[in-house]
Amino acid sequence: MRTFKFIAPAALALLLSAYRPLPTEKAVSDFKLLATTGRMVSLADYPKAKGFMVVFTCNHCPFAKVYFNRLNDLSKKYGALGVPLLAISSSDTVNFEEDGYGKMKEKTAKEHLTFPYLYDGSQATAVDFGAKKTPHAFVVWKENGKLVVKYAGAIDDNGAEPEKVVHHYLAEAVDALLAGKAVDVPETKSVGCTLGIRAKK
Amino acid sequence: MTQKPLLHKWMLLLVTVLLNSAAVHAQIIGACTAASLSGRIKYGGDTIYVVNFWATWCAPCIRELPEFDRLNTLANGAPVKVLLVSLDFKTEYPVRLNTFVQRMHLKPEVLWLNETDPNTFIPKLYPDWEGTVPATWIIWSKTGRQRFLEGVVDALQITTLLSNG
Repeated sequence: MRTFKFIAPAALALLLSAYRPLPTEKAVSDFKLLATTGRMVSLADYPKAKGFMVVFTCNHCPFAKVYFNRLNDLSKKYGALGVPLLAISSSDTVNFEEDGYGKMKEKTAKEHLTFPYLYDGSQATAVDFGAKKTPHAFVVWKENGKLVVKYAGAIDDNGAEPEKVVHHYLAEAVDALLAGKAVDVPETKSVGCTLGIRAKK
Repeated sequence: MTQKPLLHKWMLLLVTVLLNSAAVHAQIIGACTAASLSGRIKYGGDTIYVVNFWATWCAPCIRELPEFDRLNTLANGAPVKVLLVSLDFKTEYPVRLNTFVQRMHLKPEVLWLNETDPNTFIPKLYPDWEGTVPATWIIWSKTGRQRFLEGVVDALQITTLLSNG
């Protein structure tokens, strides 16, 4: 009995540590965020969209910087197919002044961004999605009136050398969903700048 | 005939590079793969490896780096080996990474991770790593025990972990 008492909590702890809910297949809430155009944007503004690519990114992070061109391409291609791309910056702008709203506006103009670049000053959207770094990409699909995460992770498998990309993880997830199929690789590991979430006061 | 002057030029370049590196006692930054790094750690005898994943593009990482110099001193006597593993892009290796390491006067061994796809290399290292940097991985080679810390750490925190086994 004594050993059982000891073993049971240990087994439970082991079970709990092994159980990690998948970030995919969870529902996220819509948001209403200020875009660099000056407008407030939410997913409800796109009644005809089948789903969305939501990419947490920022101005300052070199790992995020190398992807803006690719985001432009993805936005053009999949926007036309009913899957718009929205980029969200949830950076702590005290630590990274380069990520401030004014600088985001400058980047939007300078790099001719073809997608809404949204400022998540409260970081609430990043917390809701479980975004951990920049870039961190998600595919959200409309399912029974809900917004369900179908993919979370990297944009593709090669940050520095776009010409050497083998797996276009984000695009492949959208392709599968558009074809009515399940996503082959719903989660990938990715590297990026830590999205420091401020402690709640 | 055109080969010879070219060869001379290369020799001269080589000598210059060698002289320069000798003068500043710079370490030569080696490249590693996820497989070679995990192999090295696994067969490390009684060494306690403290592996810090960082990049020159990561501002909090750069602020944290001097802590690993301090750790080298604090861990005096313990079989601790610090490895600073850079996740920098290929375009930064070796020239810009070398320059950076020299400027920071980093004493621990620096390695460059020659990998491109985190979805492939993270599972070979520590599968539960979220992929954020900085991250610090402690491996007690003798027992196989591991700790993985994402976020900024300091030397005291690591030495406390080490002394608690």
